[in-house]
Amino acid sequence: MSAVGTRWREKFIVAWLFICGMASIATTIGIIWVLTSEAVVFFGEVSPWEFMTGTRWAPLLEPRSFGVLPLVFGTFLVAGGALVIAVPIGLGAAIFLSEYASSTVRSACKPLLEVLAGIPTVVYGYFALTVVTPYLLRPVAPDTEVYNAASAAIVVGVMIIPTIASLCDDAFRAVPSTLRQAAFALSATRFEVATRVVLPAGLSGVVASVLLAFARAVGETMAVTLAAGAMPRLTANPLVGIQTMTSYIVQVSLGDTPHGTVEYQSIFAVAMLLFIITLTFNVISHLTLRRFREVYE
Amino acid sequence: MVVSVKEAPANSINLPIQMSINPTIDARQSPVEADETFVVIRADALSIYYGQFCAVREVSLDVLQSKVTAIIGPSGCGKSTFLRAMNRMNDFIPSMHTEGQLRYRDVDICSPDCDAVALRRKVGMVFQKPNPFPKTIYKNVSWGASINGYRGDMEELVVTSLKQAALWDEVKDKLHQNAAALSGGQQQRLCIARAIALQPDVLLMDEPCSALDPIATAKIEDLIGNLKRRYTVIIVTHNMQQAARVSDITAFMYMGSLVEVDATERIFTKPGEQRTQDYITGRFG
Repeated sequence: MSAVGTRWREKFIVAWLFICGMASIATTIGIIWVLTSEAVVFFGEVSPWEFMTGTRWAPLLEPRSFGVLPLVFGTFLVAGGALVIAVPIGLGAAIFLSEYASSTVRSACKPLLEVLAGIPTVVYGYFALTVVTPYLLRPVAPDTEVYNAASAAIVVGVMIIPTIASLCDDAFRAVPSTLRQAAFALSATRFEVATRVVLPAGLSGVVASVLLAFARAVGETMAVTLAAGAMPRLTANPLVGIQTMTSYIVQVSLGDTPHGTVEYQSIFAVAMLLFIITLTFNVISHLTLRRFREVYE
Repeated sequence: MVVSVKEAPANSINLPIQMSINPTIDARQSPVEADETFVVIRADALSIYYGQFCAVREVSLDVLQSKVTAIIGPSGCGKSTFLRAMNRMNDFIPSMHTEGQLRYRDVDICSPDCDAVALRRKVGMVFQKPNPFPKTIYKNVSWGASINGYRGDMEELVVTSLKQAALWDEVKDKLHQNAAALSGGQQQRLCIARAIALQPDVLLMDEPCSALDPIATAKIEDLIGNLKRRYTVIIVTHNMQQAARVSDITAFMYMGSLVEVDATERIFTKPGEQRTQDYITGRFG
């Protein structure tokens, strides 16, 4: 091939790779643009103050009310409950993998854990509805509603275990083995090494993984829509149905809400708030992770 | 398992020679000599394998109380493996297994019944590279004692340990600063302070100066001289001058075998074996 041909080919490849790189950035910018422009229309009709502080969310029923707090609260109830399940189990799994498991067990366990992350979330939702609520929650609390926050929290918790376990495992394995040896030589047991050397040294990694998992739980849609129901309620009782921000968006998107109405526009306002919440947690998580890297490199 | 420790008299250099000539003497049965020639660690035909590879081959050696024993030899001669066997730090290598016997006082170190955690309480270790915890200086020193349920005055223990490690004057104003801020030599003395805060019986040192500059090395060497009053020290070193300077007894290992063990003075002036002679005069290694 001639030198000129090669040069053009190189230029073409570079241009193509540039477009690939730009695609995701363009998508993000597009999403932010759509969210902002539609939300601006919404906030023309409903004051941001009412939206952020109102305690009643009833966009489809008269008298209409656009207080987003029940949705936010429902979202945090499910996501917080999910963390209660996922943090101890995920952390335990990570400590087991990095400190106790032999390399054979480890290499078998880690892919298995990642299978959990590959299950479609709708399956988790169905599982919550048909197994968790009737066989796990009802025997303990008989008046649990069919749709309830607790079952959603449990399945979302299971769903985010791999995120926490995998990231914490990485954080723990980044702790230099010389520190472990130092602790063992000071007559520490394996458990003391794990909890009093490895865990504190990898703490920022743990915090980052929990924040990331929380962001995932907040953004989780299908499982919570199926399991937690569509009843916006400002409650701390996990045994009744609630609505999360994501499931409200599903509800409106699937329904026959006419384009251009205020209830249609409301999903963009909710989506924008959701986007800001998850973005905040992602950014904090990455900042924590970066700080943690600086310690050992 | 408290053993009284007395200072070695000036002529004690002769005793290890007798010991190595006649290793069948059991010091525990002769109370007159017990203070001076107490065998703290005894290897008897000890072999250590990594899988099929024999890293240490039938080594028999007595380590005497309140003496500094240096183990010298070229890289890969098995000296570190041998040292790490003494507090079971080789346990973390899955394919490792041992043959023969290794005893710490009346404890059979290699036995599966031996509690490695309890053993390490008595046999401490200082590593090649300083490895302080990413915690404060104070917490580094108190760490071992606190996890072992030390009930005494922790502050006093920290101060005493830092003083014994000749670090107190340099850190007394910054006990609650992170240990990572210290220089390499200071970190290594901190690691020594941390090890002796557990009040061990034996201190194993695995090339403790190899990552340090000459001035820091000199400080650690001085320190070792003082430490032997209270502890039995075993030091693995590449550096023959260092062995000559700090130790009372020197063992020369080559290709996994113990070639010779004798008073340091004798090893470096008229060794019994040609291979020792060749090594210390720099003909190989």
